[in-house]
Formats: sequence, structure tokens, C-alpha cells
Amino acid sequence: MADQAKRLYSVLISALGGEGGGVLSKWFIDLAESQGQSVQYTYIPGVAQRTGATTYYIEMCPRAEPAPQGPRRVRALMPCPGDVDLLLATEILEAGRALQTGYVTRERTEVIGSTHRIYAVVEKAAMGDGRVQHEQIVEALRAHAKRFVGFDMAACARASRAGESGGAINAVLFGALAGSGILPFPKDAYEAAIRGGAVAVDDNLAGFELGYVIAKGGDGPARTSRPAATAETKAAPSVAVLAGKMENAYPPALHDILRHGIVKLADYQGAAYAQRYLERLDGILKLDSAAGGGERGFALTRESARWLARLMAYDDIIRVADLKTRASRFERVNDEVKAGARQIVRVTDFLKPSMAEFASIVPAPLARLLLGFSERTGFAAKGFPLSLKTTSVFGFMLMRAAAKLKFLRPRSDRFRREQQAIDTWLAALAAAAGRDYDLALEVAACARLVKGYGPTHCRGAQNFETVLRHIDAPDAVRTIRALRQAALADDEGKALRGQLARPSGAPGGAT
Amino acid sequence: MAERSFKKEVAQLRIGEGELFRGEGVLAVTKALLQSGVSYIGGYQGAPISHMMDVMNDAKEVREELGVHFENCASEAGAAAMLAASIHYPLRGAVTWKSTVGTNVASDALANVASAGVTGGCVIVIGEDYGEGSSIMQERSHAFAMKSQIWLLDPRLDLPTIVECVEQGFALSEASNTPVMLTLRIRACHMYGQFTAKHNKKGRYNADDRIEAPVFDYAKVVLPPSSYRQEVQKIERRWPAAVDFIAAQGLNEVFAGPLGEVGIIVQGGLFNALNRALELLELSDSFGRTKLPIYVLNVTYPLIPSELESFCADKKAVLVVEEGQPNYIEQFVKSVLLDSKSRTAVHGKDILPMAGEYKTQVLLDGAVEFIASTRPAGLDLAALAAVRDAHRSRVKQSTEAIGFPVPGRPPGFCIGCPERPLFSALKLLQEELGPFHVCGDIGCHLFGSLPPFNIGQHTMGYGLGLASASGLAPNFKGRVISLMGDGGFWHNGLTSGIANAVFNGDDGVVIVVDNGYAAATGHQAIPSTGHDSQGNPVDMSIEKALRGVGVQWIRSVDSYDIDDMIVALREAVTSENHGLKAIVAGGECQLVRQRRVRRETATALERGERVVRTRYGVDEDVCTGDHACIRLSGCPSLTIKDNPDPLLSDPVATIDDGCVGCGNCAAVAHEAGLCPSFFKAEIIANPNWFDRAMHGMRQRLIGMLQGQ
Repeated sequence: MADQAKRLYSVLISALGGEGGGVLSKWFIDLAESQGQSVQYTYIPGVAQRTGATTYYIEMCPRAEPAPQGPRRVRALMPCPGDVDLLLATEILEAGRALQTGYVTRERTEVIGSTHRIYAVVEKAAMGDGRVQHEQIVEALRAHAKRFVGFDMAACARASRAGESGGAINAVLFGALAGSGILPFPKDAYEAAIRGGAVAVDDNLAGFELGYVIAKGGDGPARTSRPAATAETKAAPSVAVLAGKMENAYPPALHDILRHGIVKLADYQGAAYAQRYLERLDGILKLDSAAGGGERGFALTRESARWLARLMAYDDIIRVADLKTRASRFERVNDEVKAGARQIVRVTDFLKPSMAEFASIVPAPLARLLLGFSERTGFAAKGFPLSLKTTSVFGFMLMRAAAKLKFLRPRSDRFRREQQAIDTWLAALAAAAGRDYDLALEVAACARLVKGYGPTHCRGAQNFETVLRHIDAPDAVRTIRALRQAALADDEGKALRGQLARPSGAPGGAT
Repeated sequence: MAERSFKKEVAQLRIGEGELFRGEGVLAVTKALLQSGVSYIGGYQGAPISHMMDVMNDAKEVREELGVHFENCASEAGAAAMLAASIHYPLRGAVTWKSTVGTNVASDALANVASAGVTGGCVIVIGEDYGEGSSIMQERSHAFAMKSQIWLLDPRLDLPTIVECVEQGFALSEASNTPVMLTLRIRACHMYGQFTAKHNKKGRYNADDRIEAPVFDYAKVVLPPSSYRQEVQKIERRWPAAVDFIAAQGLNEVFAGPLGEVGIIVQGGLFNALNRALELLELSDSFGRTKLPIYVLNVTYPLIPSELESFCADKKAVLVVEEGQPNYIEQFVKSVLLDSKSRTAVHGKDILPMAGEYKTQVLLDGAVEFIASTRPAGLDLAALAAVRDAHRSRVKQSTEAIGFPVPGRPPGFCIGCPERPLFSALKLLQEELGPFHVCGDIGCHLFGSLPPFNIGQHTMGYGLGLASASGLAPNFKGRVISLMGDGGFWHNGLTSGIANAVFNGDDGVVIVVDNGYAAATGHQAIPSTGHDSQGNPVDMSIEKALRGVGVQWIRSVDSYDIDDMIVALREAVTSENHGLKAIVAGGECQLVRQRRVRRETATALERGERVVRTRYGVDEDVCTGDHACIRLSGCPSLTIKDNPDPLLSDPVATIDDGCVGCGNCAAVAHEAGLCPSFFKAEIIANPNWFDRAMHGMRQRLIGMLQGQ
């Protein structure tokens, strides 16, 4: 806080609606005023108060200077790029926004920010993974701030509030500010400001303490995430045997991902199905080796293993019923909704299987009968809406019964069609691998297009077929990649149609 | 009660002579009104002066002690009409609203009061909603002042100056028999600072000491020949009186500086930003000790020719810093200097941008360009350019530090908002029947025009959703749907839209969004809230009003019931019924509801009562990461997280702890047949014996079945 005789000390607080930016500002003002500072502060609420980003801006200087009757300070009401001394950001994207606007400069700006993410709408709504690389923002802040104190304050807030829902990020941030020693104010003055605010004082003081300790270089809260989903592996002996066989045949770098694949498929349809998965991959490994994949870490086998597992474990009613009736699922739900030890949780599931989905789990002749009936009568053509209380005995039994239909799956028409599609994809992979390793990788990645249920699945499967048809295009690597990205750009198929219509698209033509 | 409470802060309104006031701009202005001895205050909420209305409501006791009447007006027109009290009588009064939209609505009454002239001082506090954070079209209020001859104050932004301007505004108003507008930009309204207070004053007349005899003076009635005389009076008497008062009281300020060959003329409200820009260029300091002379217009209308002439007298060039367009001040300065045969060059919009907010950076660049083109003696241009370039390069390093654009956060519906399911229903209905033209209105529901809904093709003004269909609907093949908020309904929509449609026999569909409050502006009470701003019960309802003006086809639907809503909408757009079809979409604003429910739940839990909490979730292993649900719902609590499956990379949907259990996400996913991953969880706290018995039995049975 040097130089105050000449200029004011400016503080920008960047927050999201509902994260307590206003409360934080109030604490800050009370703190500064208690320490002999004269403070001006302003903010823009407006519609931003509802969902968007909000900013608060403070300018301060020592009180009663140079003389009470002398000229008053002229304080700005908005930050100017290159003119901010301290940035407090409750979320990393907001810290990044401040940096990108020029509010954070190496000469002047010290930054305290939480590194957790609250995703923006564009990131959430993407059909694939639309999240920005927030690690890049952290790095940029480290490089371009005078000092950056950053850690996951949302996790600290959760840890300090004993199971209650988050919110005290602002208290952790305030603690980090105190711990950073950036301002020449004593710790108890910060605590007095929190007490004076009279908002959830105990929780906020706990959060403050945690932030203070971490900024001083202490330890954060222990990570309490649940073990990964593969804990579900009851590791049947047959699976262990398969895994052993796999480890002998495959390079060590691939063991981890293949083990996940084997476990997933054994869980999905038994050890024999997992065996089939490995057999399919054996072929790809051979191609991969022949194409010199060893130098590229067997990327083709790795990517194919990932997507093959997904394609083989396609989603259907049986799978959904199975997943929704597991004991581990009920535990997860209780955990997620933060049910207390003596509280009771009732779960209702919403299903809307269409006749096509019913038909997909029965053998082909019966499937034709069911679909014919639906077509004639319109029964369940658009889905049969069900609200099942899965925690009631009846609801559970119905759901469990559906899960038990697993034995029917390999005899179903859908199963046959899925295997056909997989074989088409594998053939395309093989053809591509013979020509161009990169093309094979692109083809592998196309499996990403197939996901979901009902209309989502139909759309994905169609796009998958359409894109694969362009494998013989002149500039196939670029064409396939562009088509895949276009297919993921929107769910009405606009981008994909646009891409297909481009002259640089495949001469093979669109359909 | 309103979203923001000022119950604690209003204690500041009571402090006396010499005490230090600490608080926000709107609170300081309120204190200044009380120090000026007002008898009545009124207004209509809207950013950025919504909080001023909240302050007035919360300051009931202080107001009553001083006998000040406060009115929550039905509209800005109603608020402006209150000023009639000051035409004949020495009553000081103040009204407030959002500008320019509110001033548009008020301008009929404003023009009348400006023509008649006032006896008691009138101050109109307008929240100038321009620039960052604004929610309306970008215009200036300046033109209203010019057309009606109302004086416009734009004070320099520190609380002592603002408070002084309010007090002087009343004196100016009385000295010139003219109402005075005081403009406050968004940041000024919320600016926290300090000033030394004075005692509050009782008005000459007030609720405790009322006027006894009415005055009749035809000269104050706006009807010929008075109206012709009033126009002449404006020019011959009131304007010169105002100019004399402003000059004599020194309302405008000059900050002298050594580089006397050039100078800057600036609106008061922009002075702080200008000074900071000069400070960054090392041409001023934080005390405003500028090297360039600055003439600060705390009064931007009328301008004072003698002051302008003397400021420009020894200068070869001046820069007019004037935000927004057209550049009325610059034009006036040019005309004054031309008349006086001055040779001073006038710059303004030739250097500074024609449109948009004048942020510090804009002023910094403009100042450098002005100086570079006018080359005042005594300034090292190369040194100035070096300072500017150093600043630029520091900033540039930062703005380019992240390799991608940081995504924006557009506004949208809040968690659990009752308007989201309404737009979901409209979207699903469009999938069934094809697209509609939907006339939007002002209010939170205007967010429906943003993704993911994209519903609402135009907006014509508060409460005008239905009226804006009356030219289109008769020329449109399908039925046109109009939206109207409950705030807009009572503001004018009941007459301009509903009664008009009934009267003209229009065939139309209107959805009145009844969320219980003027929600977007901070939950002020409106006639259909059920109580007034003090909590006293009020028996008025939208449905009764609809029936009262003769609407026959009315459906009241719970917004959260998507099925019912689709049925009502389908009937309305396909019905044989020719005439107005009104759907009242009910659902209390979730922000207000949650504030209440959270409190009630906490109390019930403390008492050990049985409480059922509902929230929704997504099964992470069933979700396939397509995010179609997010594209349909847009709820802030429906978000994404890492895929728990190590084989998959696309993030899966998840519902965070903000969920209030409205169920729209699941209902929409269900309706659209998207996917089965949503679930509803009801969490029973303090379960009774029956809950526990059933739970025990179920757990045993389910456990047994799971074991198999």
C-alpha cells in the first residue's frame, strides 16, 4: 500500500451473483475504516444480480489527510485497466476476465482468487466438452499478476461448514487476504469486521481461519472425494483371469485403460463379453504395431479401447434399471442430496421408454410385433411416461425386474445392430490405419458421436454413419475431423449439413 | 418486503448538524431531500433508483416525524403528476424514476408542470441507466430537459457535492419557477461515501400542518391563452432567472491549471473519470490538482454563456467531454463562442467516440489525442506519449495473457424461476405446432428471448406486450402470443393492452406472468402482491381486473405444471373463440419464496418438526454427457462435472446444492424424452414413526433383493 500520499489504493472485487460479493465488500469497508482509511465504494447490481458476473469497486486512502479543510480526493467509480492494486475474485473465470480486461498488471496488481469453477452457460451447453482450460488462466495470473494467491476456496468453504451447502467462499477469500499480509491490517481487525457484519458469524469465521492458514502456507482441507467408480469391481475370478491375459499381451502403458474396459464390459454383460472386447482390440493392437504405433504410445489402441468399451456397453432400459437399483447408487444419492444420518430419502425416477426401446431388448420377431402394434395404435410411440418410486418396494421390484432381463440382451435385434455398427467402425479403422495413422485416430474419435437415449441416440448414430462414409475423401483427416466437430456443434444438424454442403467436403457426397 | 432492506441504514437519515453521514448515494440523496424540507416524495422503481424507493419505504418512521408523504406511484406518469402539488403552493417535493424509459412515460405530466411553472421547489431524481449494467436502449435524458425547459443537474461525484446539488436544486427551482432534474448514473446511485450532515427540516406545509385555503390562478392552467404566455415566460423570465442563480451561486466549478492555452469542459458526472485519466497521464493528481484547466458542469442545462466565454477567453482550444449523443453541449458551446466571435477551437465528438459510456480508458485516449492535436505550450508531447505508451503496453501484456476469450455470463432466469417452465412449455408447444410470433414485454421474462429459449421477437416498452400485437395480429396467419408481466400489467398494460383489446374486439392471446412482485427491480410490492410495501393487506388481483374489464376467456395456470400450461396454451392458440384469451401464469418469484421458506424451514427444524425437502439429481453413470437437458432448461444449478467413468471424457450433468426442487429440469427432460438420468429426492428430516417403520421395512426388502 505504498505511494498513498500520491494516489488512492484501488480494489476490484469480481464475483458471481449469490456468492456474497456484497457481504465481502461490506467486511472490507468496515475493516478499512476501522484501520483509519477513508473509503469509497460502488457496484453495479442491475440484472447481473440475478445470474451473471458482478463487480464491486473500492478506492481508499488514509483518513483526515492532508487536512480536513483541504481539497478532497477525487475518486473514480470504475476500475481502469492498469490502475488496480488489488483484485479479489471468487471464481477463476472471473479473475481471468479481470486479467483479460487489463485490470491485472504485473507492476501493480496483487490477486487473491479462488481457483474453482462455476461453468458459464456456453461451457455447459456444449454437446461434448465445452469447458475452457482454466489451468491456462491460473498460469496467466501467476505470470501477469504482481502476486497471485490462489486455491480452491469453494472446497475450503465446504470443509469449514460441516456438510452444509457452500456459500462462505467470501469468508475464505477474506481470510486469504488477511493471511497474504498484502494490507497492513491485523488479523483481529478482519475478524471484528466479520463479527460486525452479523451474517452467519461462526461459519464465516471458520472459513476465514481456513483461508488465513492456507494463504500463510498451511494445509488445505483433505480431499474427500469418493473412490472412482471402478470400486464397483467385485473382481470376479473370470475378470481377474482376463486382466492377467491382457497384461501379458499388451504394452504396460495400456494396462490401466484396458483394465477399466474389461471391468466395465464384464459388469455390463459378463466375462465372455469382456473377452470379445479384448479379441476385438487384439486386431487393433496388431494394426497399431504395424503402423509404427509404438513410437506414439499406441495411441490408436488406447483411443479405440476407450471408445470400443463405450460402443459395446450401449445404453438401454436394462442398463439404466441395473444402474439405478444398485446399493452404491442409493449411497451416492444420499451423499449428493446431503441427507443427514437420521433423515430418510425417497427417490423417484423418471423414465419414458418408447416402444422402440422396449423392442430393442427383445428378440427380433417379437420386436417386429411390438413395433407394428405401436405403429398401428400409436401406443408409446413417443415414449411411455413412468414415474417410479425406486425406494418403494413395488418401484424397486419393477426396476430390478427390468435389470434382470440382461440375459435377453444378446438375443435382441438392437444387439445385432450395435455389433454390426461396431464392426463397420472397426473395418473403417483397419482401412484407415493401413493408410494414415492420423486418419485412424480421427475415425476412432468418431465413436464419441454415439451416446444417449431415444432421439439423442438416433441422431448420434446417424451422424456417426454419415461421417464414417467420408473416409475416402481426398483430405480425409481434415474432412473427418471437420465433420465430427460439426456434428457436435448443435443438435439440429445445422453445422453438419453446412459442412457436408461445402465443396471441400467429400466427393462421395452427403446424404 | 423488498429484496434489499435499508431498515438499519435509515438510521443515518436521522442524524443532525455536523454529524458524519456514511452510506450509499441513494440514501445520501434521501437525506438531502429531508434536509431541504420536502413535503412529499414519490416515484416508480427501476434500476438504478430502485433502492431509493426501498429506502423511502423503509424510512417510514423518519418520514412520519417530518410529516413527509411518500407514494409508491402506479407509474412514472403518476409520479410526475404528483408535482402538481407545487404549482400553486409553496410545497417542496421530489419524485424519482429510471431514465430515459421512465422519463418517456412521465413526459406528459412533466411537460404540463414545466409549462405551468412551480411555486414550491421540485427536484426529479432520475437514475440515468446508460453504459455498463444498463438494461434499456441507450439514450440521454438531456433532450427532455431541453424540450420542456426543465433544468438538468449532473453533479460531480462525491457525496458532499451531490447533497449540495440537491439542496441548491430546490432553491434553483424556486428562483426560476421551474422543476429541476438531477441525474445520477448507476455507479453514483450505489456509491458509498461520507458527508457532513445538517438537521432535517419540516416542509412549510406538511401532513401535520396542512394548507387551509385553495388557490385559483388561471395563469397556471395549461390552456390558451395561459399556455402561450407560459411559453414566453419560460424564455423571458424563468430561463434568465435560472442562469443568474446558477452563476451567482457558483454551481459550476472551475479547476484551474497551468496549461492555460487549452481546457476541458466536462459534465459533472464524468469529472472523476476524467481526472483519473489525467492522473494516469501524470497531468493531474488524486486531489484534482490538474495541469489542464477544467470547467465542471454540475448544471448541464441551461449552460451559462458568460461562464463559457470567460473560461474559453484565453484558450486556443477546448475539449467538450459529453457522454452519449447527440452532442447538445458541444453544439451549444460552439454557438455561444460563435456569437461572441471567439477564436477558440471546440473539440468533442470529433476526438471522443460518438456513442457509448465514457470509461476512464476512453477519456485517457481522448485526452492524449486532444493534447497532441492542440499542442499547448509548456507540455512535453513526447513525454506524454511515452507515459501513454507505457500504460498501453502494460495493459496489452495482460489482455493478451490468456490464449482464448473468457466466456461471458449472460443474464438468465434464476434457479427455480417460475418463468422457466412457462418458456419450456412455449418451446415444447412450438415443437408441436410450429413457431409463433411472441411479443415480449419488460421484466425478467424478457430473458426468454435469450438462449436456450429464443422466445420473444420484440419489446416495445413496459406493459406494452399486448398493445404491441394489435398491428401485427390482424396481418398474421397464426395467432400472435403476447407476454405481459404483472408489474407492466398494473403500470399500464391493463388499459393499453387488455381493455384496448376487449374494446376493439381484437383476437389475441396474452400470457400475464404473475410472480407476485415487481421482481426484476428488487421485489417491490404491486397491487396483486396481496399487501402493500408496509405489509398491510391489499385485496386486488389480476384475475378480478381481467373480469372487470370484460375478458371472457381466462385460464389461471400454475407455471410449474408444464402439462397444464401446454394444454391451456394449445387451447388458446387453436380455440374457435374470437376475442382476447388471457392465461394468468402463476408462480411466486423463487427468490422471494426461498427467502421465506429457508427461514420457515430453519425454525421448523429447530422445533424438531417433520420437514420434507425436495431436490433433484442426475445419475452420473446414466448421464451420457450430451447436455441436451442443459440446452432445454438453462437452470443455473443444472451444471456439469468431470465424467466419473475413466474411459469417457465428456463431462456429465449434475445438479448443485443451489437446487430448490422446482423440478423443471426433470419435467422438461421427461416431456422431451431426453434421458432417464434425472431423479427426484425427497429428504425427510425429523421423520415420524410411520416414516421410520415404512423406511425400515423397505430397506430390509430392498437390501435382500440387492443381495441377489
